Amino acid sequence: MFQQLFKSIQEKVTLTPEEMELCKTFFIPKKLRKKQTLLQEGDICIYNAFVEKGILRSFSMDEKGNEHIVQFAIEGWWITDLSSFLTNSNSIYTIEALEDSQLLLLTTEAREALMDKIPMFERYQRLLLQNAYIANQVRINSALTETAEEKYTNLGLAYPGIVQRVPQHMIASYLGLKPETLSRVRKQINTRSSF
Amino acid sequence: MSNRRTFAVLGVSETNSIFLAKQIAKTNPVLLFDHDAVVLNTVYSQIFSEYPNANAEMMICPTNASWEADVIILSNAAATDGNLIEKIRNVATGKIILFLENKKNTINFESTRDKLQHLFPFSKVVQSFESADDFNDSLFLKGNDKEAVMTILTLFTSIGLQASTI
Repeated sequence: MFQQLFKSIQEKVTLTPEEMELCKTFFIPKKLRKKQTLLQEGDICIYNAFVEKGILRSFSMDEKGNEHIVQFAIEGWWITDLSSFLTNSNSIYTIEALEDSQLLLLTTEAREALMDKIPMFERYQRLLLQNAYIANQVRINSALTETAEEKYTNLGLAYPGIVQRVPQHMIASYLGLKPETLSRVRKQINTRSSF
Repeated sequence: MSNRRTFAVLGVSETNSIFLAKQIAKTNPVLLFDHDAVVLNTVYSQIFSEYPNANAEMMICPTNASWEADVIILSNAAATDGNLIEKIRNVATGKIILFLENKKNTINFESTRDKLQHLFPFSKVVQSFESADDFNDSLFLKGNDKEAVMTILTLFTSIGLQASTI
């Protein structure tokens, strides 16, 4: 149940076996079925979720009912609405499972207590936030400067697991493209690679 | 967070757990489990015959039911079933465990709750017990976690039960 979490933690910091056991007591194990939501737009996000198994997406919806995907999370990743989670404000996102998923949930109180009891966990969280910030910068730059083909190709190179598991219209939404644009881009790439 | 909490009702052969399962299933997802498949089927059918739009499902495994749930409801029988308790311990961390004490066949209120809290040290155990013969009449709630007790109090009130905390 904690395999992916400890793998993720141990990649960044070292915990003692005792600290790992203590760590387990702060997480709420939760199964979500495909299409079930962890967070609903308008609610306060009370969990930071670690994905042990499955895949989730977080998205906002515009006035016309179009969904805009801001994040996917596969095994070993965290997903939350950080702003809502840290400031207790209403969330503008919905977080939904795209497959049957197994999560480990951390409340704000549990996160604080865990960082207090295990200083290495605070370092782990800091490194995660640092990486998330870098990933956001890369994403903004990609959105501003790359062509549709570059966006799709780079996503596939960086996160092949996501491109293979997620429906293409969601990939298009994540990249800020129309589904027909992505379809055309994929066709062009396939035509070139077949020569 | 998603306000539609999922409830696991473990043990559906007692009046109070059946009542709760029926009432909660009107608004929230309810996962039903009982060792007795006939009882489970009967309660499941009853729920849908009374409330066709109910959101209830039969589960064959208490672990999966509890893993998926946000709140775990234990009948008297379930709370004293060592095998069942062992199966759900690891997936109950951080969750509310509501224990439905039935005064007619209880041995000792305090010791059962203490035992449960000891078995689930990282869960929020709330005990509900009756003040009269009728479960619908009046109930008392007790537990170490105030927020969890208030959550259950709100739930009980919303389904028309008269309850108070002690």
